[in-house]
Amino acid sequence: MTLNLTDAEMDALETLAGQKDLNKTAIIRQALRLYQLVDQRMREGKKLFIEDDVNKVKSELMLI
Amino acid sequence: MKLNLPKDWFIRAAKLEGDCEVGAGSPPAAVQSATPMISVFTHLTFGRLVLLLRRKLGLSIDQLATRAEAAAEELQAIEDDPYHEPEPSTVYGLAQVFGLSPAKMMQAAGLAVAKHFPPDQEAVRFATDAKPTGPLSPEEQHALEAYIATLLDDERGKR
Amino acid sequence: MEASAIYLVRGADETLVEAVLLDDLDKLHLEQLETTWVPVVEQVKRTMPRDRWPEDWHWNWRDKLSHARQTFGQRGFCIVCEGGLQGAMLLDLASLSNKGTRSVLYVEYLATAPWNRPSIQKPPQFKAVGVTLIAAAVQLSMDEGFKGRIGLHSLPGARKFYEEKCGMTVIGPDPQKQNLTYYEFTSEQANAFLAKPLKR
Repeated sequence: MTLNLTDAEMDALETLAGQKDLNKTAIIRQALRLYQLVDQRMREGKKLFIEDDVNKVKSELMLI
Repeated sequence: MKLNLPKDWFIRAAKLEGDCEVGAGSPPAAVQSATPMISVFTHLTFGRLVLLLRRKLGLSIDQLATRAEAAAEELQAIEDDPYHEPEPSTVYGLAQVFGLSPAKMMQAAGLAVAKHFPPDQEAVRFATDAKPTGPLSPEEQHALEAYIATLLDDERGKR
Repeated sequence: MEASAIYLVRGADETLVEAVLLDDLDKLHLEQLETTWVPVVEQVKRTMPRDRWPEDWHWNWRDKLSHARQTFGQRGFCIVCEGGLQGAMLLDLASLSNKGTRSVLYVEYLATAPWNRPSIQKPPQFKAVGVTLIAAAVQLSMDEGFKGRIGLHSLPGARKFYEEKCGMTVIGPDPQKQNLTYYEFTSEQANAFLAKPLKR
């Protein structure tokens, strides 16, 4: 499989790989796992929230 | 995934482990489930009991539901879902159909506490032997009779 | 499901016993866990004061595994020996650690069979179950590109093992997990662990 990424996406991928100390393939695979996990939970009727721990503000992450 | 380690690794590892406990996961104070594990085993065993007695009588779920005046969905849950809490009225109806003491059936279902009801060897062996359909095999028949015998044993309370 | 030949040590006479590490936790293993481990735990709970109960007595493996089987972000492992389930582990490959920048493989659940725990049975039936599961976690971490790094929240009774015996890095108490202490293996520590279990 060939992955076509824009320059910006490739930059982001390389940055994440450096930060997480993973190779690019591992980053892509982890992204896929996270996507599947979130998708599974949402199909179960659950919601994903992001919380600002300092201000205690919770906002819903909408996934279409 | 393959793990390839030499024999002496395990010898050293056992020495390393020593008398230490090894465990990782959720905090001990937080109850993660409304159904503690203690009753999962009880429900599993009760489900097996219902399943084998139903098969012994040659009944389908629907036929048993009619006789026990219970919902077929609930009977299916009793047989399949170890986290399902059976309704007392259903357990009573099943006791009538199976010719067992309602009190003992309530204990087996985890709805009543017996004075002494540890899951002993018979219960453990019984809970692991079950197939969904068909007549009972000699092994299943034996396991069922042995488990019912422990269920009805009036001397249990004196053990 | 892939099987690896491993060894356990019989507690009674310190002899090596052949065993199998499986890279899956399926329905049969779950049933074995519920029908063989739970009765022993139940017996301990009936006869011991609450502060002596196994720290994982309330764990719901069935619930955890029901999610694990629907995604590939989680992997189960178990050890089988002489027909019995001796240990089980659930790993999370999808968690985003907020404790450090480097990604780790997270050990979500790890438990040995109650008869293998010195706190319940002395001598334990088999030794080296827990440490072998840790080795499996490290190996999977390497295979998946995490370079051997793993993270876990230790049960209170197991801290000595991770800290003193394995030499894991103490990250500290985690307020999000009721202050359970969180540990990590660096890549270097993990490689050393597999090459030769650390001993301090």
